Amino acid sequence: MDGTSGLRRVAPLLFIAPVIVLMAAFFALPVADLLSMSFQAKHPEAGAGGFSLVNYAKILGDLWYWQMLGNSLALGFCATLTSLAIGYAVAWRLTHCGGWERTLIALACLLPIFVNVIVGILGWYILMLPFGVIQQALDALGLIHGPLRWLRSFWALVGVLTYEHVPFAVLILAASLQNVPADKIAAARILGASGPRILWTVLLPLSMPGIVASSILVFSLSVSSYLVPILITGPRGQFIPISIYSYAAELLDWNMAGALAFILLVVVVVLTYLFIALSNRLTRRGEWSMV
Amino acid sequence: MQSNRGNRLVALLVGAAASALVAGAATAQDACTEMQVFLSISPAHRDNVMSYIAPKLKEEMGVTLVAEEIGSANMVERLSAQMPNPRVTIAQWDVPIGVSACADGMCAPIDLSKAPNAGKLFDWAYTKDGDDVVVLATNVLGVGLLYNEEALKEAGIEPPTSWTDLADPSFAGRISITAPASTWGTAQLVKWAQMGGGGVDNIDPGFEFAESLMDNMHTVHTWSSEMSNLMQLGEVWLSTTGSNMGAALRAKGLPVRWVLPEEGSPVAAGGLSFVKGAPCTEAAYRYLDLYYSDEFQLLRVKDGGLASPSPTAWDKIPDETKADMDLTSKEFDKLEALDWKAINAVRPEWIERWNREIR
Repeated sequence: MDGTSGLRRVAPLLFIAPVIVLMAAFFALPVADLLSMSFQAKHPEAGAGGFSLVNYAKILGDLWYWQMLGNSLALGFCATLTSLAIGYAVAWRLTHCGGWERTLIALACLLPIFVNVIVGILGWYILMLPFGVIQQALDALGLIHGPLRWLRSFWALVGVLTYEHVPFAVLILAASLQNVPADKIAAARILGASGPRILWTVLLPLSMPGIVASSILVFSLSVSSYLVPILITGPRGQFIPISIYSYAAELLDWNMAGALAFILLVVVVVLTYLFIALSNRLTRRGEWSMV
Repeated sequence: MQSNRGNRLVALLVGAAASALVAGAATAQDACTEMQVFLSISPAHRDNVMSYIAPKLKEEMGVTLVAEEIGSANMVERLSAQMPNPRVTIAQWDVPIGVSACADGMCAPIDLSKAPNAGKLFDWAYTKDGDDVVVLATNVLGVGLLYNEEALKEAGIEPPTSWTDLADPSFAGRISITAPASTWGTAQLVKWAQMGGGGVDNIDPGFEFAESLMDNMHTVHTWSSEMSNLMQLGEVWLSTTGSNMGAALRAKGLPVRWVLPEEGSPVAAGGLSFVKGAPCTEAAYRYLDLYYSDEFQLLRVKDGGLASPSPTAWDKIPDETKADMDLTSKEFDKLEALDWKAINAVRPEWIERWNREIR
């Protein structure tokens, strides 16, 4: 009897044990190591390896790092907004069509996920080079002469990140929109609500779990993305992940890299929590929870 | 009394176990069956090493060579993580990075008597730490200008001869310069500072010159592969890079030439060091001897577009190969050596400043 109940208690733990082990070995331990490094100076004045706040003081006391953090967050916000705007419309259509159209949309969403990220980005890279396909077309039309500097711009980066992350948003939003009861939309229509009002007062609140989940995913992927910014804006892009890489690989200053990484982690976690709390309050539901 | 005896017995057993472990480790050290080396990223470098040196090491000593091409800074990073028991025996890094790593105690002294071919290089090829040789130059590289001959001809632009040609408005949007995160970029920045009356102690003129190029700037690249791609795509016509890139890109069919600017060119050579505490010392010396053999050096000249630090190899270079080289021993007097110890002390500040100011 005791043995059976003990087994019942342990069994669920066995299911989640692999995740716990993986998280501990490949997330918690490295992050703890990074955190401990961030509290050490690269060239300690007195005694090696002593506790120091010098890296955090350097970052927080320098406007340049604040601007860089601002750029990274702005990139995350913009990529999230565009991904949601495009993803929501596509997800709605996906859940309200059938046959070949549904297959086509699903395929269009899945293909970018299957294609290697570098291959996908190189397409954009070649397209938007200062003397690339777009420049040549505009030049042939006599509209511009000389280089187009789109490739290295913030908005080009937003475009590529949106392209990369829209499929994730669509898949999550579609699952959420599918759960919106059709009779509630029908009821709103019968009561005379306009399309925008149905969207604002019925659809958005009821699909909020999907919106929140996809926002968190796209935002955190965009803010912490290194590969896309380094290929699109190059090392001159003023974003935190590029700076983290520069400190770690070029300046061999893992302490500063650790401090920057930890600040980014804290900011993303705090913003995510605030977003979830705000969404809970705005929808006044509290029936679903992400925290 | 009993307790003392017991303690002694335990101590004896622990001692015996430790001796067995040490002996085992020593045997493992002696019985080297696999040697790992880090190679600098350079055209045909790994191919040459694996086709010429690896089979000989296998045949003569039964040692399998494992060669990995990575950037110099990454080598330091990975070796640091492996210390004090590194698995990599040889690091072929840029000389400036090697000088800095050796100053941090990462290198073992190289006994030139154990590798005769390595003992006959030009004098400047040896970097010492006190009396010990710790870094050997593996090539001679100058930093200068690479240009697309055909594109310039079509646009009616004269080939560049000076660093100041980078600012020529004819090259609007068509130039690419190297960032100081790469060794070549740092060398080029010092040269620009010297042209403006500064130098390592006053780098401001170098930054001012870089700033003055921004109207013409297509890309600031850190990796030469990015520059090569842009040259290949026809986006960039003129770039700052190392003297080996001309021959390497010509071998791929690109109509490019490298030119040593009239103001002079800083040297940024590749280097080779033995890693302190690494296994396979005997095989490492054989590797060294093979690397500096005339036959292998000629391979590097031909396939890698590199100038050799070995005078005997120069004598054997065929005339047609010399004619295609962008940098020959005749131009060595135009190359300027830099004080990398002084540069390394301030280089991180320059990289940070560059990241902030040159956009």
